[in-house]
Amino acid sequence: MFEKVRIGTAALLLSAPANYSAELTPSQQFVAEAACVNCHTTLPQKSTLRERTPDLSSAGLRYNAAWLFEFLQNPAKIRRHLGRARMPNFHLNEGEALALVEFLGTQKQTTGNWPELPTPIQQLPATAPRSASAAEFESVLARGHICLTCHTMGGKGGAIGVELSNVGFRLQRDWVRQYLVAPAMYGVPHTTMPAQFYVVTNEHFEPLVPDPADRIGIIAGHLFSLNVEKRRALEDHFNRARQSATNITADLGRALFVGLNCAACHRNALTPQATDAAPDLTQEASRVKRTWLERYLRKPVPIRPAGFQPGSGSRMPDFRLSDAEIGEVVAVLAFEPPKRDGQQGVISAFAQHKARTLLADKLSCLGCHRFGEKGGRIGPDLTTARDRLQPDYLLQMIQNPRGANPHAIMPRVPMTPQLLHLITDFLLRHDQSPSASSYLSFVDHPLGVDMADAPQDARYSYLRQCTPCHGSNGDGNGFNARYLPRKPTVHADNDYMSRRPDDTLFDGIYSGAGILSKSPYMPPWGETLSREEITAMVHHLRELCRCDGPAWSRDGKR
Amino acid sequence: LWVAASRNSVRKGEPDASQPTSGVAGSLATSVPARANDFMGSEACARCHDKEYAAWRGSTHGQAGGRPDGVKLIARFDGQPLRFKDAVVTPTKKADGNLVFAVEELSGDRFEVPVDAVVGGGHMIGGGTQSFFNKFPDGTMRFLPFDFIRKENQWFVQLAKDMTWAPITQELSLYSDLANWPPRRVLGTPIGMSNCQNCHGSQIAVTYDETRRRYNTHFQSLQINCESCHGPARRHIEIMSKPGFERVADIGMEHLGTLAKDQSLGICFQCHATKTVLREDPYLQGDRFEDFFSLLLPLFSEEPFTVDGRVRSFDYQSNHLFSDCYLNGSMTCVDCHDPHSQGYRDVFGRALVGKFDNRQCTSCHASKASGTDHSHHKADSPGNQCTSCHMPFLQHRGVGQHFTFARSDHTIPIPRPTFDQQLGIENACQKCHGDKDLGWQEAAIREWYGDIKPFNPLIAGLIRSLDVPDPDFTRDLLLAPESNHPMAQMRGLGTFIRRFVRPGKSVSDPEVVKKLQAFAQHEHLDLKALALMALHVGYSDRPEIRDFLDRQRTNLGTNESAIKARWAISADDLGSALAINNDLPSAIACLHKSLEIQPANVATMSHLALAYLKSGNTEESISTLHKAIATRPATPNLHFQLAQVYVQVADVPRAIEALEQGLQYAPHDEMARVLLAKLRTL
Repeated sequence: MFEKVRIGTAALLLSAPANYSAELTPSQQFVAEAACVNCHTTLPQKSTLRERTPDLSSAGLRYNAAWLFEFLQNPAKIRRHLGRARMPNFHLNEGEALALVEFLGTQKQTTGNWPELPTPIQQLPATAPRSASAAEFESVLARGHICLTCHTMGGKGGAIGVELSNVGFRLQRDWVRQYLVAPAMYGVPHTTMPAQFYVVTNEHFEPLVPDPADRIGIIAGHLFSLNVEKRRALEDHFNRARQSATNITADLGRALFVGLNCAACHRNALTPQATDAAPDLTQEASRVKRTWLERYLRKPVPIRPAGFQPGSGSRMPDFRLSDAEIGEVVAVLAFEPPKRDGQQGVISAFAQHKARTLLADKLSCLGCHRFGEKGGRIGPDLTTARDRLQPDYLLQMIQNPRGANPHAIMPRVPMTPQLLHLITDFLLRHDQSPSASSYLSFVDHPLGVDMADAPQDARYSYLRQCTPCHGSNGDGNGFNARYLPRKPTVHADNDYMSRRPDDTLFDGIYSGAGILSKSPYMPPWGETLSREEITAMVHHLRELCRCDGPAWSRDGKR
Repeated sequence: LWVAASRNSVRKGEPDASQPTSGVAGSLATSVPARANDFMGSEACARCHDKEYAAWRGSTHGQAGGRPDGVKLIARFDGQPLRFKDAVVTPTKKADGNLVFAVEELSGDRFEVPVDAVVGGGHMIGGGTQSFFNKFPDGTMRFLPFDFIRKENQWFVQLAKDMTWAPITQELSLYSDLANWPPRRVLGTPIGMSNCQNCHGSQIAVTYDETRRRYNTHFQSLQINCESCHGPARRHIEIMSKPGFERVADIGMEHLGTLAKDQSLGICFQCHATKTVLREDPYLQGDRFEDFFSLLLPLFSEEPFTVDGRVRSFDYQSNHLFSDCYLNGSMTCVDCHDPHSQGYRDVFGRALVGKFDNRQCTSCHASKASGTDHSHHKADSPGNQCTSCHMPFLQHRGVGQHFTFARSDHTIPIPRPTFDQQLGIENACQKCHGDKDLGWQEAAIREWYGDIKPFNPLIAGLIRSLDVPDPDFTRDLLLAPESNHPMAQMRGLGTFIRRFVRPGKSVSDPEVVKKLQAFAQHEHLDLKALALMALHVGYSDRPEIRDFLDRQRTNLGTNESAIKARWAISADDLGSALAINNDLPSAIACLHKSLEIQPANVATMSHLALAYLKSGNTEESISTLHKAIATRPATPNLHFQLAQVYVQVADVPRAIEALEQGLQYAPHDEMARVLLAKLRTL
């Protein structure tokens, strides 16, 4: 009876995953449930999802790495108590998935302080693995264990727990045994998964039932006797991938874990939750077109191929939303009936040619943005701007980027009104077909600059704004460099930099490298950074090159 | 002495425009090229581009010149006489509105020279003038010698003795002291005549009609019109007049704002540059500029600039190519000058108030924009204007000192008081601090800036080379094929050639040959051609060099005629210079080398004949002129030159015959007629 009461309480809690205000509209309720706010942190629809997703602090103990490797690339529904939230698909490639697995493999923390495991449980690995038949398994359950009240198994059971027949290839056997001893050891509250076999009394595990270790052994033995072939297949695939990837490290995985903002939905031992991993959606209806957003939510495609913050690796994952769910999101973002369509009217072929040439040869836009096959991979692909953005927002973004979007890193580029309108009109009405877009592999572009603790100084500014091209150490080899027609200046090059006066560095930063007859793709920062910030940046460049400018350039000083 | 070709790198309004130097190949077109009909005039542009038209109309280009009744007249046609020693010239506006110069000679003879065209409006702040043209009976438009300068509010003339400008006084003889009386200088670029090229108007094309034996002078306008920069508009208008024009990318015209640095500069350098003419047939916008003109050859033939690029005598703005803003930056003319309004703007195209607005400079040199930290002069003083120190107005010394004719220095130099003084240039400090000596100026610069920026290494080498006689050492200072400073490279290469390259007796240094060969494969046509010439003239007695030259000659591709013209003309220049220095065997060998490249160049034949004559070989001189005449009979100066050789050998009948032949083609040639009359009296 005691056990049933506890389980009943858990069931009650699990059946109400969307514990949100009743004042929310159904659409807002969905957005809250789906936890959009976890990345789009300015949304008002707050989420409690993080309390119910798996705590990854112990992922290294818990998961079968081979399964995790597969799951990260092709996530499927495991948990049924998350309401309409779900693990989305981040479009990870094998290397990225492997990196995350390596990192998660290092996560072996338990929650809270626990006594030493019961001796029979500790001894189980020595006698196990043993198989247990279905009959043995059912006989254990029949002895008062109501696992199938919540969990399902072979089509039977409850409606809110995970499917138990998958456990054998999803999880680690030792962890399952320990978890059955004390679920709370792994961050799962007893209200969600009650302890059925042991209880802690006087800092010792005391049996709740007769022969608890045997029962646990039979349950685990049976669960791990299922799907053996599948487990083997997963392990084969995983091992092959691991052997062929020699450059994948847990550190890389950690950086990706941070970049992808996994911590937004998963508790974990190490990393803080990012607040700048995704766009501010509060003005989304004035930024993007509804038709585009609906298409995007149905099938998200990369907008910033290297992450919302350049090089972070963050990306909008695919939530596999239904049309109805997309409708809910759109409703929350307050889209109004379409205004004037930016694609109406024409831009002459000559004006297109003119704008195209200016973009390719004169302006800095393609340093960060892609157009067609040309251009960088920092910002959104401009080829798709006509389908994506509201015309007025596009114009404002070009005219005054940080006025239109305070989170943008894009600098304001001075230009005449004629040029502003030419480029805006072109981007809204060009006839270029977009090229296929894919995320930059975090494995190939391991920027992974952790700026969370960096002071807001020139180094921070350099990491945020310069590193994508110039590299974090000034080696001219940032992830975006390979997409530029000219190699970015190597700020660490002592010989070269010692021939550049401070004033020239200042001028290049202020007005863009085009004025120095270098790449026009290096934009002017003079209307974005203050003179003091640019001066500080010049000093930072001097630290990178460990040099001074030529003696003649110092006006007799130093 | 007549020669068949006048100096071809004539500059607009240049004081000296009639000395024999280089030649051009090909024959003068006999009729205005059909392409001239492709130019529609600015009014046609105004129909769609009204804003640009309005801006242009008020600009110096829009007001550059025109018919007398269509321009703003600043010169005084007030009936006040201009008194010469031997004549009185009275600029007069007649009752019918026409302008004339009424000339009364000492004899009492009177005649009027009508003004058919006006050029200039005194627009230039450093000294603006207005000039006048007369339609001559031979079909040319002739520049009249009476000019007006606005600031001094005076009529002036150019003197024959030193080509400077001088106020009109009774000490001056109209007939013997003036550089251009009777009027000789013509509009356009015809061979054998002093000319002001094709820049004082738009689409000027001078051709010679052999049937009518007179010139056709065609021009669209004496303004600098839209098509002077944008090229011919006919096709553009045709395309844009048809439905569906918005669907074609080729609108018959290029967008000049998309041009790369050198291409953009090339648009302005069509006129704002000293250039060597390569061909005689008229250049019209849309033609390949480098097929018709060379921007760098003048540095070989004339040395128009000081070693660091400052204007030596009289020039334009192509010395911008010496500036750091060009060499190490992206600066083009339109980074500061609005091409339509001629107003000023910053590097991002944003309009500025005036020509002294510091943002022209600080939109690139933002580091210098912080108050007075860099200038060390009071904020509201002229000393705090970038242009005061870095683009000072320098008097064009070729004009002399009677009038202010100064142009801002587009080499954008750093003030170097002592060095500038050595060059004979008024340094920027001096302009305001003329009461202080050089030591004071140098001390101030040292105090504020410490060591100042060193010269470009190639310029530094040029400066040092002036004192170095040793060819091995000089070689390293002057020959820099790997440099990125075309002007200085040209200067260095040219200097080396003039000093050390002679037919059959050049310095035999393998390093020199190696460097010349590197230059000969340079992508810059001028550098390439000059090096080919040097190898040809100085080293082609070596089999391996002959092989090298043969390979190069057969591999010139689409640039063949452009390179060969430069090659031949520079050999002609070198030969003519050697002739002036009385190294006649070398000169003759050089000129023969030139004719190997351009066998039909009658100008070079003329120069060769001159060299033979000077060497005493009248037989070869006559023979060469006969060959030239056979090549191009309708070249009056060849006949006149032949007549003079006959005069020297006292063969009067043949001299008379040659003059008569020449006068068939140039019946108005005053000097020929005078000589003929004299010969007939013998």
